[in-house]
Amino acid sequence: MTSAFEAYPLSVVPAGNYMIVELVGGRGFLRRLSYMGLHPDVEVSVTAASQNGPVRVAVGGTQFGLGRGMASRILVVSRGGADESQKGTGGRPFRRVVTLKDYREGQRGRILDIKGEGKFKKRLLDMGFTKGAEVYVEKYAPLRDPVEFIIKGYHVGLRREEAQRILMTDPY
Amino acid sequence: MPDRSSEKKIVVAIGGNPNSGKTTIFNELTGSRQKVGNWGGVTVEKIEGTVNYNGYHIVFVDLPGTYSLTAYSIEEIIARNFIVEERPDVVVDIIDSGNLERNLYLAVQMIELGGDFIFVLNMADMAKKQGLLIDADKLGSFLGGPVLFTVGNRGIGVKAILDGVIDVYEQRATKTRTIQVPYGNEIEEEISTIQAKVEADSTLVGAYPPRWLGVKLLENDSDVQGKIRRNSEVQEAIAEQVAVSRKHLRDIFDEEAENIIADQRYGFISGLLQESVSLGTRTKQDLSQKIDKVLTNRLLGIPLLVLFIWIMFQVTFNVGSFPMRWIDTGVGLLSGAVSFLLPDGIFKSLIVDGIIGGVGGVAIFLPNILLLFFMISIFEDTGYMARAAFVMDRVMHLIGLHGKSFISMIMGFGCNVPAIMATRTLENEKDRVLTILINPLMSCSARLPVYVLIAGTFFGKRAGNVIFSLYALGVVLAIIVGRLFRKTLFRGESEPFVMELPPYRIPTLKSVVIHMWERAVLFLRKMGTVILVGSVVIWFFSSFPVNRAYRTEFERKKAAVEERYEGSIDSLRRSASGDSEISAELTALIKERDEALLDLAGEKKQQDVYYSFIGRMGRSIEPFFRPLGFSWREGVALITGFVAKEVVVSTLGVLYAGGGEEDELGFAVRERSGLTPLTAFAFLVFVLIYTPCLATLAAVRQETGSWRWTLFSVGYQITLAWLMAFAVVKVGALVT
Repeated sequence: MTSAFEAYPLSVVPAGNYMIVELVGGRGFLRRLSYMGLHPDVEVSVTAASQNGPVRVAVGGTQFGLGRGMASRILVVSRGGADESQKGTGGRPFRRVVTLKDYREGQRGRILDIKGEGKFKKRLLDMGFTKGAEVYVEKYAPLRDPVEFIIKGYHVGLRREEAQRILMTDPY
Repeated sequence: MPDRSSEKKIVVAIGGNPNSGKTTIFNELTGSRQKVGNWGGVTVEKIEGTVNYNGYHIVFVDLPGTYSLTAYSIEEIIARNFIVEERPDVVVDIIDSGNLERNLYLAVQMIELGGDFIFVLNMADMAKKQGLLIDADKLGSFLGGPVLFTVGNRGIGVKAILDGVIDVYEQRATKTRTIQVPYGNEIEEEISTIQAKVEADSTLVGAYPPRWLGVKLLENDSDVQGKIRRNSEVQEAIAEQVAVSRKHLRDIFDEEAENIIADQRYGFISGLLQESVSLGTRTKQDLSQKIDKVLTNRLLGIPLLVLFIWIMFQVTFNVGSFPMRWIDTGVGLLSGAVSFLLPDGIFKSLIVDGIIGGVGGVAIFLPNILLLFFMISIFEDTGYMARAAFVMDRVMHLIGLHGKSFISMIMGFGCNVPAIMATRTLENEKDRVLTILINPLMSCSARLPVYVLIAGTFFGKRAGNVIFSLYALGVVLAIIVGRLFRKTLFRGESEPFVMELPPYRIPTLKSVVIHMWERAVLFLRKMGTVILVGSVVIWFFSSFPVNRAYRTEFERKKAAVEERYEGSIDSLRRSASGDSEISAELTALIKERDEALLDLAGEKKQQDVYYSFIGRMGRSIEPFFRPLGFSWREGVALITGFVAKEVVVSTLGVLYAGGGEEDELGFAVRERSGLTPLTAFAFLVFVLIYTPCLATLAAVRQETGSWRWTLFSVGYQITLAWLMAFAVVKVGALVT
């Protein structure tokens, strides 16, 4: 499947070279990243990716580890070419980006981005689906669709096809 | 009309989120003094209520419930245009205290519209149970208006709203501070440059708050863009600046301006919540969540929904059948009395068959409508309606419909009139019209007598299966037609589901009764007239023209029969005293005479129908029905079935059996109609699909607000009916 989303959270990509396209979070978060030299349009290489530990990255010659929670809020595009990243020369295979559709009952996580423009996105914003907002999966409908979520303290139903358009951090 | 000139009139708009308890408070405030209408030019309902309080005449206008005030839906545009353009004296925003963050999102947008506000934190008891401690003064100072607490469904604090309205109204001149939502430096800069361009046009400044125009233009709001295009000389300069500003912001934030603005609003809200709300101790676990563990349970969810709908159906149609029978009897007695009092003739026929029949035809639906809306109110006010939609959405989505359409479709099996009225619960216009269009394919109970007669006559023991197949065919066609219309007439992005599942609440009797009453009044006023006029028109077409030649002949024949028996009956009567043999002979003779008269009356009815406009119509459209194997008699029956489907049976009765007994009718139809089992089935398929009835059409007209859709509905159903019946005949001929 060719994904419409070319940007991925840093937490899910294999080792390789990337460029930051977006940082998701509040002012404090952005400031902290800024101290580490992480801005949009900055090149970053992942030296060691892992399933659940921190991600080791190198930016402008300095190396450091990033917690997964933090890494999941840094969206990057690959610089190494799609073929290379598919196999993953030094890491695991390229994983598909996490959307709200992938969440199971009882999981929670934060919104990274909402794909698409227009009415749907506007409606979601109006209903409180803003970047950084926490979403909890309350339950699936008896026929597995739609799904009931809790966001900003209230309950809301979304169809799975709609949930798929909401990019999420890894559930925690 | 009392003199109100000494009273001060205050116009108050009531806004708020859906499910915030807005309607309950509105009902508590205004009681039964309500007026239901439509907002100009659209089918969105407008309700106004008045209260006289402390020498003030207060008019409350219930704005549509919305989550936001963008141009997302017609409801949002109506709500905000009322506030900016009609300038109500006071705006009351009803806020669900248990759901502050999202409800305040609407509040901060309202503030931007300008005006004097009162913020009502409703369901304050829920907030307390959640452990929320709200500092009303602080919150009020952030929002720029007094904050009141209410518990709407128990009527607590509702009177204080009236006092608050008067206070705000009297102090409106002294108010100086207006609250602005801060959007951050970059955006504020762009807002002020756009605002400067807007302020160059004095008519715009007079009509709308300039800052609001600036924000909305930056948000790419189509409705505001239209306002500017229509009203402003400097529209090009404005549009240019907006484009520059939007691009600039996109370059900085890599995001559309409207998204950043929404983010900033939520940021502002979380800031003011931090200042004014603190968390105390929770006293109670979320009961709603527990109820939902059962009601939307994976295994129990669907069976429970089926059970609730079964109850709804039983209450609406079975309990409803008792008052319906009383109404029917009442109408029967009335027309009996009137026909006894009036002399025979056209006038009597008009009163009895046309008007009383027509009024009866209207009144008979009333119990169904009252009961269905009683049930729907309970479903809605408890919050179960949202769950029903949640559970059934997967199925309804197959037809491209919303889960909420399900209830309307099921009710269609009882009667399409209340079912179509039930589509009011659908917010989206496309969904509503589509649901209305396919609703008549749900086979209503008035069609059953036709099925029973024809299937019973032609299929004997298999009648049950045949009838079942008709119901199933209706459902299958509804799915196919629904998908087809969705792909052709209602193309475009289908409505996202994004639906709030509000906490369960106990409905108030007052709200339920008012809701029910409003539906009834609406039905009587709007549809009643259509049905009444329609009945009189159809009466006219079936009574005229009168065949004078036959009338004279009929009178002559009648006299001849009476004369023939008169002599012998009289002489028998004279000698009958005590003699049982002669008595028996007399009874037999009288019976023979009555039968002869009845035959004659039947013949007259046949002749009347044959000669009337409807009879002529039936005969002239015979070629239309010929490929389906129907004679002109079936054609006439189908035309009269337009009044109500069960009339098909009585017309067939008149045409084949001269109005005789029903059990003879089946025999007569089989012997004389020339229908074969195959064409009889085609006839039933036609009855299933074609234009339901006058009352349904009136409902379609009322709920779509458009004659175009109404005519379309008639057109597609007749076409589909013919095609399906034709297919039955052709395919059947191949198979057998």
